[in-house]
Amino acid sequence: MSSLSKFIRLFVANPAGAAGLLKALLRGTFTVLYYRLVQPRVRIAFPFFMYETFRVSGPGKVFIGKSCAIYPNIFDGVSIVTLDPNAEVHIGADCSLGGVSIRCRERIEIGDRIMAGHSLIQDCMLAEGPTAQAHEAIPRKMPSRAIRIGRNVWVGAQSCILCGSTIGDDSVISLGTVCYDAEIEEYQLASGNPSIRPVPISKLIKLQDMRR
Amino acid sequence: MKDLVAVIRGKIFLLRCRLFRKNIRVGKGLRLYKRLDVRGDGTLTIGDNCVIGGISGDRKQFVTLYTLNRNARIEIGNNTGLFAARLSSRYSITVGHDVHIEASGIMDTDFHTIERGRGVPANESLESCAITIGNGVRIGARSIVTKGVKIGDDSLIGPGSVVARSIPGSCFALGNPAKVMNPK
Repeated sequence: MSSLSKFIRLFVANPAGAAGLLKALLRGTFTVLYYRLVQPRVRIAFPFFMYETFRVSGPGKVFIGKSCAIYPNIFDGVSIVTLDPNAEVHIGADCSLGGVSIRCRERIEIGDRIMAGHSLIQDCMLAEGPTAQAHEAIPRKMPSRAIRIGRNVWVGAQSCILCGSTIGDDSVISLGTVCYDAEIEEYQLASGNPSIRPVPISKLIKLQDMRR
Repeated sequence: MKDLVAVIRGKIFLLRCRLFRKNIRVGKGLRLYKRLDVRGDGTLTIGDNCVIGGISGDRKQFVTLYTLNRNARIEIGNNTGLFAARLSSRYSITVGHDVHIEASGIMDTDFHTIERGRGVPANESLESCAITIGNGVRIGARSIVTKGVKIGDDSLIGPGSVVARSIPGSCFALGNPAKVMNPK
């Protein structure tokens, strides 16, 4: 009931925004129903807000938690590609994703309340599509290691999170970062290409206070 | 079905090149899964059994092979897969056999000078700007190969890297600028 009253308040304050929200919810509901009926290996929990396109392809399993939202980005919506039948993508609840492309060969775990810009999350070196499997020059089995992203992480735009990365809770991946085999602990800021030395955010905040 | 369509598209492309565009030479068994955009009147050579495609899940992706003037040259070896790669050449780009390139840009010129006029760069030459990519090289998505770079045989360039210096053979390179790392 509280969500309904919230919606009414939003409608009074910003009718266009409320209409957009309704449209996104409707689109999301249709998408959820489509995947329930046609592709049962893709599981999306019900309140799913879709402002932009959302595509899943490949033979693996995809789980998305409840009340996730896909926001419009300059380029595209979210695309999730699973490249292996054993691949699994887990996305937690309350995520806001915009323009993320996920390519999974083994396992990608993303926690709750993620914010992500136009970025690439890929747990293998090369994401050869189904076309490339007919192509004999490339070895089929590329080394791939699972990715784990904690809760409440902010992933900046144009960043790549590559195989073997583990990112702790409340961390920030800044713009243009490439994390390859990086172990980022809780509440840290990662930057650079490749990201080598993440900085604790509590230290940064202290530094800012000192400058004032 | 998709493979059949790709083979037929490749044959049509081959025929069009034979008839209308004499500067393009295409080998046997080209497969076109996505659009191949060829512009310019430099010479372009594509070897046998090449695959042109896009990474699945991404829309609006096609392979571009641009030659910017008459003397420009792009050579692509046999069994090479180009997946949403963008090659643009003013001097010479040589891609070896069995190469796999994903959504990345390869350009052998800076296009403009750093001066205010933004004209054509004067200090570039064929010797200093030619790009050579060896046999069996694999280049990950969203990486860029800049002018004058030689990549040795069988090396792997990680996703998101900017290759500004030459890379030796059979190693793994990542970062901006791309440095040789040991793959874990």
